[in-house]
Parts: sequence; structure tokens; C-alpha cells
Amino acid sequence: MTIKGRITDVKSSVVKATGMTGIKMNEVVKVGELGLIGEAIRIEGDNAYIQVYEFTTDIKPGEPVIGMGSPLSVELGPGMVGQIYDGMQRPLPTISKVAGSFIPRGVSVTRLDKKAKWKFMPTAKLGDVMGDDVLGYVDETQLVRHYIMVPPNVRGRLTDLTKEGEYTLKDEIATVEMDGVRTPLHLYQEWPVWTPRPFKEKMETKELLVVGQRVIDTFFPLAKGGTAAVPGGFGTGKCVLPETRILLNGELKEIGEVWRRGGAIRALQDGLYRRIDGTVSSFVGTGFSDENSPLIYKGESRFMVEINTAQGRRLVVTPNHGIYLYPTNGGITTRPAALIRPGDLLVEPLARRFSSPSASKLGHDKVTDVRVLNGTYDVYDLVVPGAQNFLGGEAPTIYHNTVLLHQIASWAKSSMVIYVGCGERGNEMTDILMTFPNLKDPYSDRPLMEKTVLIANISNMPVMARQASIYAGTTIAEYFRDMGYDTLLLADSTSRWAEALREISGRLEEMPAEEGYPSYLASRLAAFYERAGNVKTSGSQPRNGSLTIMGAVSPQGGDFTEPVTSNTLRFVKAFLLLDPDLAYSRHYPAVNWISSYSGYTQDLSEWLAANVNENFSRIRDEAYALLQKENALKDIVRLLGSEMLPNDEKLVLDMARVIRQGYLQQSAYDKVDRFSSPKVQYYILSAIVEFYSMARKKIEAGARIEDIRGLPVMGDLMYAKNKFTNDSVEGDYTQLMDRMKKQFEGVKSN
Amino acid sequence: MSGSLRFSRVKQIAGPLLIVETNGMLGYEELVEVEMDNGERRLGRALEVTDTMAVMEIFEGTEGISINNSKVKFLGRPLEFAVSNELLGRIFDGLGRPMDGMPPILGKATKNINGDIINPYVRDYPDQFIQTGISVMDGMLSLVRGQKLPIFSGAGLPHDVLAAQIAKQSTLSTGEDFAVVFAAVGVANSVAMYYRKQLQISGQLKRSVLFLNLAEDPAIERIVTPRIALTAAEHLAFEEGYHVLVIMADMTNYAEALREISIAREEVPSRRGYPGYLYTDLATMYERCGKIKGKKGSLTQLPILSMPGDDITHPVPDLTGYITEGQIVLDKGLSGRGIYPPVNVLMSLSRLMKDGVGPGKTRDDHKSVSDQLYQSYSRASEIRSLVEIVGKGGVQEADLKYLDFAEHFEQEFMKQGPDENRDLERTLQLAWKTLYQLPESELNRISPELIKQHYGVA
Repeated sequence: MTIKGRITDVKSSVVKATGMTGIKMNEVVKVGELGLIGEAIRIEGDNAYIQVYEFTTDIKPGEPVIGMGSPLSVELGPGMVGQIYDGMQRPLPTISKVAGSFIPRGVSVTRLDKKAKWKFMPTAKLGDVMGDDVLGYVDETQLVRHYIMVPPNVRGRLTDLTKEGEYTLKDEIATVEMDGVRTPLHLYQEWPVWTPRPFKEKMETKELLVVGQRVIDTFFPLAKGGTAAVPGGFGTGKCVLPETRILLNGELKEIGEVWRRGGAIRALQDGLYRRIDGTVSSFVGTGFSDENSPLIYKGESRFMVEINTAQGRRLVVTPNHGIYLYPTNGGITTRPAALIRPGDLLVEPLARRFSSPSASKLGHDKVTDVRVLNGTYDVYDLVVPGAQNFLGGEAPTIYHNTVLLHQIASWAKSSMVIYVGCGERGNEMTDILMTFPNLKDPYSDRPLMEKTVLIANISNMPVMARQASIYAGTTIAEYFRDMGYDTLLLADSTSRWAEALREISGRLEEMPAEEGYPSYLASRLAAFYERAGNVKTSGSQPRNGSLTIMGAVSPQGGDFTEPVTSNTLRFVKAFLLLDPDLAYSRHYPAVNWISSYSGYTQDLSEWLAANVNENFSRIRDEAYALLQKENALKDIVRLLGSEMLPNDEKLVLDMARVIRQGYLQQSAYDKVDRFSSPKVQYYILSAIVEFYSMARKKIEAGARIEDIRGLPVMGDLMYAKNKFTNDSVEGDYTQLMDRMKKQFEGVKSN
Repeated sequence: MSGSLRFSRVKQIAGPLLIVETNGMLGYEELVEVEMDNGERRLGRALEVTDTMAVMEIFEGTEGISINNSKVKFLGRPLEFAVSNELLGRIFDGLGRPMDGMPPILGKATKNINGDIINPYVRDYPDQFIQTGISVMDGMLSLVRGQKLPIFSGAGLPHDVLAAQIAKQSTLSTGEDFAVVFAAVGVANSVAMYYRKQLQISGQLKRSVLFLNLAEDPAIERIVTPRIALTAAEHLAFEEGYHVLVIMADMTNYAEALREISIAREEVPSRRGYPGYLYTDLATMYERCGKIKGKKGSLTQLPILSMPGDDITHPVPDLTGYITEGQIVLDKGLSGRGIYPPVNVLMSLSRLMKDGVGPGKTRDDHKSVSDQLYQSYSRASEIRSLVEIVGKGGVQEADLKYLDFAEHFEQEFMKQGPDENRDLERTLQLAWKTLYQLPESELNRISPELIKQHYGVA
């Protein structure tokens, strides 16, 4: 029996109704004469609180509220592929057909087209069936064979199955009988979005999800059924350590402490800023004037430079922090800390104590020694309005994680891609909606949309629908997983989704936890990522399917400690850090190879050995070691120049450069380079590692580094990525190795 | 729904809010008219309705209303605005009532001022450059048709002069002009008159619509003024086919009115007392902007926000920045030095510029010139702060060039008259002249071919 109550109270998007006895939590209701969609979110006796998904203007007390009997569900069946939905699975193209350019309230469109005919090919035999058993299929697009399955909650005897032919979604195609109850089945089924679809068991994630991008597949691989987060890029400014003391309102304070007590946080292009009250009279390395209302910046650095002076000063700053010094040719200049050397004269106030530095005269202080410190440091900087130096001398780079998600969506070797645009800017979403239809699936050369479902929910659409959109996308992805497909869900951005959670929680007057987010933020995030997995499906003949989830997070200005990012990092296993500096120096894909990580490297080694090459993991580790060594040497090189290094370390730098340019960098425009199969990746990297091992032997035997640098085969290594194709790679590799060996034989080893 | 008139009485008065007996006859956001004994009428809107009563926000304020001197008339409709092409050339008050002595608009249609959401599927991507005739904007912060680009400003800064100049000078590559919708949200009468005069001088008044909620007008009214203006703008853009530029000044006043209501309703406050839904609330206005496939017109927004205490971390500019496609930040220091427009380019950004300029759109060198100016000016600013400490004598010869560059950048490139209209050719010519202050070797953001073509040529 349907529940029909009446509205007693309307307050913004929350409506209270009475006469709702029997309503279930999360049940969908139609609100008012307009039939706005809402959901029961709190039940008190006869009364229910309804969160309405649309704006409630002119809804009156007394208007009806009708229970729809089930929680928010999606319709799953032919017609989904290539579709663009809003957060409630309403097809946006259909809405534009019936309502024009705008989405009017209460617009009612069918989620799946019930009139279209699909060619159904039955494959099941009459007899006992259970949920997820395949009845037959519809070839929905050239890329997707849409298996028609028994809904998860149905089992019994299949007594009737229709013949091959054309059917609409309304036509009965099969009947299942159980204890005398006949259940008619159709080409589609419904499933509530909040409930994960069942499966038989979750299996280990040990198969590579090929995305064809070398930096990801080789160094930070994704597993089928795995989870990953992609935060937007952020840069590091010119910074100091938290212990650094500054003079705030005449009192010495540690900068880290000042940060913690600062005002509202403001995210700018390159980091997180916080206003502090009062005046700052001194800050290390730059000016010495009293300044009002400075901003304080917080970031993170992997390296610090420690500078000690004759007068006993100790500065610990980031390598690119500008230090003022007196050069030998007169005047004052500024130089990055990494380039400061012993003997340099620093510009410092004559007064040794912080009394009134602004009044003090300038003197000099001689650098006695300089050291590079390794590790992860929280770093801070002060930005004084008017000085305008906080952008670090570079034009701001507009860089958004959507770029990488695009690339992964197009190249991932998955059977289905579900893209959820959640709370984005309207014009940004348009960019995606206009880009996707032009992308091609590289494996079939068919339009990518033939295996894609897009869900678009922008910032001005109702928050409840924003929250639902991610679950709707996940449910659709699980449905394709249950057909035995590898599906990929891209959620951009989970930060906006969490903000919707926060806003709804505020409307319900729940007690806020960290930064106003509800206390259940972490558990909701965990439950969302937990819906990923590599599963054995239910059904009498279980299939293997996987759902991989990649969530974009937008940490405000790169503050990874904010609740959404910090909790996300607890639940995902891989983390691809986009680096604006790399993007700015035209290094694409701009994935930072030092700060990114993947917990799947170990899990996948067996699969890689069996399916690509038994040496894959060894080669990868050797190559990665070179990149790490380069990173360790980088700051020493800045201090001393590379010519001071011994030959074996020079060789490391050379090889790391080859890996960066000849391997990590990948052009989306080069026909061969844009996609590397794992096999091609292995052979290119193997050639580089082989070169290194031959070169190292020669160096150990006393060969000159110049002779090795001059080998023509170095160029071949750099361009292997443009030549090696999946079909020819073995031959290409053998030829390259032959040339390499021959050329090395010619190197004199003294 | 029924539209029939009903009367009721005031039960309680709390700050800007009235509590009215309704017997369930009033819908959410429906209007009432409070009639006082002296014949005065005030408009109110329902913020919460129940079976028995409603909480009303009274746009003109509750001063002078008492429980026994007033009765309440239900108007049976939400706040609507009549739209037609006759809107152009008209002036309305903050609630959309004519204040130019002319009769009300007999609209083709009345529209709910909350508007509907543009279907993302029919949105068209904004990528057409708008020439504002202002060098620093066209050269480095290009505005694109359908973009929302706020001006973050402070007390005493010439944001109005800048917005009016943009309104007067903006032309599209197609040669079409803009229709201007101006929403005054709690600004001084002199400001509103300034805009009016400027539009009159440029002959655009007949292609403009003005909505004026002035500083002396009731604060609560400010909650609806931008929405009424956007309703008019949407009609002109998407029904009448105009390219519409919407200027809304000052959105901080809007947010303060929202806060006043929120606090009166005893809602859980978020940052600085603003309600937690401020982000979504602002988004429902800023997202009423863009282009629609198959429609001729477009809607471009230029909201103006004052930053209280020049604080860019204030929630209003902060949240605005997450919704809009960039920001133009005005700077007291530059303004104090007599530089107009005093745009702090290092803090400003146009996110859609990359798609609107460059080969095939404007000029091949546009993007790289912009990048180079940015980088060099940023470097120059660092050297400047050094010079402030040690004096010019303390800086190396090479660095002094940057001081010349910065001076030239500010005085020749950036500085221009409020009535000076420079085309893009002129802007880029000035940009190259500015870059000529630096040795060729310092220009590492521009390809050698473009340098050869333009460096030192002008």
C-alpha cells in the first residue's frame, strides 16, 4: 500500500510531513503537487523529514507526500551506454528535448527509454536460476555486449524464456517461478543506489589495469578492482621550517605556531594561506620592515638546505628559498638557498638579537657550511601584501586533475568507464561533455562513448542530487562488473561530494565534527571506496568482474591534512600526485615520481611475471632506484655542480635523464608514444637498464664518461618510445641490443 | 496555487522576521504584503511555512510594524519578474518595480526569480575572446564570452570605474556589442548614478537594464536583487539573443543580508557567522552564466566584491573564487601610485583565457606574451622588495633592467585612461615595447620565431 501523508512544514529543502506511518528510512517520496523527488531522512513516529532533491518554492502545507516504496534506485538495462545523466539518473539529453535549455522543477523523464527496441539473444536454458545468472544478451554498442541477468534478489525455476527477437524494456522476456509465485523479468532491473550489489566473494587485486601511461603502469600501477586518488597539483613556495622564529607584534613566535593560531584559510594557486593579525617585523632572508596583515603559507618539501654561519646563525630553508647575499662584484643579490656556498656573505641585521630589527643596520655574516637535509618537512612562508613575491616568479599554472582522469579514461583497458562529474563548475563540466564524445577507444578505434556512461552534476544543482550522483555512478558500475566486465569509475571531485554531505548535515542541525564535516565523513568515504573490488559474481556460474575506483580530491591549496584528503588517503591504495612544476616544464603526464605511490606494486608482480616478463619487477626496481638516486643527488648538484661528482654518479644522472625524457614523458599526440602496452614498456625500460649495466661495467673498468655519453645508441634509447610497437617490439629490442653491445665493445676502458 | 487573496495577522516580530498566522494557506517562498494602518505596504517572503504559521522575511524591514497596526495579505505567488525585450533602457528598484516613472513591463512571461538550472548537456564551452580595450585585461586576464570573472576590490578602489569601462568598451570579435544588466546591491546612490551616466555617455543606456538596491534601501531586499537582475539577463541572453554583461556590485552586501537572515533564524553558523550553505547559495547565482548550444546570446558575469579589511581570506571572496573562473584583484598600493586600472596581476587570473586566445583565436603570440609578462613582472617585484631594503645601488646591473621593466609595465602597459580604448593590436604592441626593456635572453617563455618577429620591432 502506498503511504500518502501531508506536508506540515517547509523549510528550505527540508520538508516535514505527517501521516507517514510505515515510511522507510531513505525511501523516495514525491513531494507536493509538482511531484518533486525527495527522500526520507528522519522518522519520528507519524512524522517524516524529507530532504527534497529540488528547490521547494511555493510548496504549501497540506500538499501530499507520496511514498514510492523503495529507496533511490537506478534502472539498469540497455540504453545506458553513451548516456549523460544527472545525479538522479535522469538523461540530460531527454530533459533538453522535453524542457529546452533549462531543467525545470519536477520534470519527469524516463530513466531508460522504454520504447526503444533491442535485439535480444537468449542463451539460458529453462530450469533453476538464481540472481546474476545470464538469460541472454543485447549487443548494445559495438563495444558493449549487454548481458541480461536475473536480478540479484530473484531465484527459482526459469519456466519461460522468449525467443530471439526485438523487444522493448517493457516486454516480458522471461518468467521465474518460486513457490507458486511467478516473477516476470524484463530487459532491465532496478537497484537502490545506497546498497552495494551482492557478489559471491572478493578476490585479491593482482591483475594490472593497463592504462598505457608508462609512469603509471610501470611505477605506480593500478590494479583491476583497486582504488586510487588523484589530488590536484600544488607547488612549494619559498619556505622555512615550523621552528623558525618570527617577530610578531614584537614577540618572538615559532612560525608553525603562528600558523596554527592564524585566521581563516585561503587557498591560492600554489598553496594554502592564512591571515595573521598584527605586524611582522622580521622574517629570515628577506626584508626587515614592519608590515601589516601578512599572510602565512604552508606547504611541504622533500628537501631542506641548512646554512650555518660564522656568527652562529643556522638557517634551514627550502632549496629555492631566496637568500640575500653580497656577491664579490658589489651590491646585494638574491640567490636560491641551494646555490649558497661556504664563504658567501649573507646580508643580515647587525644586531644579533631580535630587539628592533627594523631599526637595525645591515651587516654581513659568512657562511661556514651548507648541508642538504632529506625527509619530508612541513614548511611555512610569510607573504606580505605589497611584496607580491609569493608566486615564486612563475606564472600561475592552471592545472586540474581532470586532465589526468581524461587520459586514464581514454586509455584504461577496461570494458566500461563511468565518469561522475560532481559539483564542478558548469563550464568545466561542459568541457568534459564536449571532449568525451570526440575521444576514441584506442583498442577498437571506436568512439569512447560506446563504452562510457557520464553523470553530470554541477555546483548549482541541488546538493542532495550531488550526494546521490556518486552512488548512482557506483551502482551502474557494479552492474557492469556483475556481467563479468572490468569497469572503471572516475569520481571528480569527491571533495565537492563531501561538501554536499557537510551542507546536508548542517541543514539537519547535526553536531559538526572536524571543519564542519559530519562525524560520519570517514565512514562514508571508506564505504564508497570499499565498493571497488575484484569479485567473483553471484549466480550459478560465477564470472570474474572488477570495479576500479579513482577519486579526484581537491585539497584546498594542497593542504593534505584537511579532512577529505586525509581520510581519502587512509582508504585508497594508490596516489598519483600531479605536479604543476612538471606541467609547467612541459613534462607530461605530470605525475610526480617521487611523491606518488602505489600499494599494488607487490600485488601485481606475479601477474606481471606471468603475463609480461618475468624480469618486469626487477627492471622496474632498478630503474626506480636510478630516479631516487638522482633525486638524492639533485641538491648536491645544485650546490656543487655535476662536474664535481665521480663518474659513476654522473652516469646515474645521465641514466635518470634518459628515464625521465625517454620513458616517463609521454606525448598524447605521437601515434606510437601515446599508448605503450606493458610489453613495450618492459622492453624500453629493459634496454635502458641494460645500457646502464654495460656502462657501469665500462666506468668501473676506467672508461671515460664522455665516451659513453657519445654513443649513438643513447639517442636510440631516447626515441625507442616512438618506435617500439606491440607487434614489432621483440625484433626492435634485439636490434637495439645488438647495436648497443657493438658500440660498447668500441668503448676503450683504459 | 489558488491565487485567491487571503488575509491574516502578525503574531510575532523578531528582527527582520515576522511570524504570521497562516492556517497552512501560504507556500514556501510565497509573497505577502503587510498593510499598515497608515496605508504603507511592505513585501515579505516566506522562509518557513507550517500548518499554522509562517516565518516571513520582510524586504523593506520591520520598523514600525506592530501586531495591531497591520494586516497581512497573501499574494499567492512566489517572487516573479515579468520579462520582455522592453526591459532594455529601463530602471527598476531592488525588488523589480519600475522607478523611472514608466509603467510596469507587460511581459511575455513572468519568471520565478530563482531561475532554473541550465542543463549541462546544452551548455556550450566559452572560448570567444572579448576585447575590453583595457591592456592588462586583454593582454593578461582575457575575458571570454560566457565567463564569470569577479573583481575583488577594497574601499576606495576604482572597481566601479573599471567595471563601467569594461561595460562601455567590450566588443566581441564578431563586432557585436553587449547589452548591460547592472544590479546595484547596497551601493551608494552616487555609484549607481555613475554607472548610469557612463552608460548614457557611451550611448548604451538604451541597451541596459538597471536594478537599484541602494545603500539606504532595506538590506533584506538585497537577497533578491541579483536574482531579479539575472532573471532579466537570462531572458535577454537566451530568449532575445543578446550578449549580456551582468555587473553585480557589491556581492559582499548580498552575503551580509543572507547572514542577517540566517542569524535571525538561529541557524548553525559557519565561518564568520555566514551560513553553511553560502557556497551553494552563491553557486545558484554565479552559475546562471554561460552559453547555450543553438542560442545566439550569451551571459557573462562581472560580480564586484569588496573584501572587508582588504582580506582575501574573507568567506565571500574565498567561496566566490571556487565557483568563478578566476578573479581580478585590485591593489591599494598601485592605486595609491596613481596607476589605473590598479590590477594586481600576480594575484589575478582568468581561467578561461587559455581557451579564448592564441592561434586561430586572437594572435599567435598572445599566450606566450602573457606568460612572459607574468613571469618577468613577478621577478621584478622580488627585486623591488630587495631595493626597498638596500637601495638601487645595492642591486646588480642585470637586475636593474627589471626595475625599468616593471616601471614600463605599470606606466605604459597597465596604466591607461578610464576612457582610453586600446584594441588588441595596440595592447600587444605595448606589451612587446615593455618586454623590450629586458634583454632578449631573459625572454624564455616566448619561442625564438615569435621573438624574431616582434622583439624590438615596434
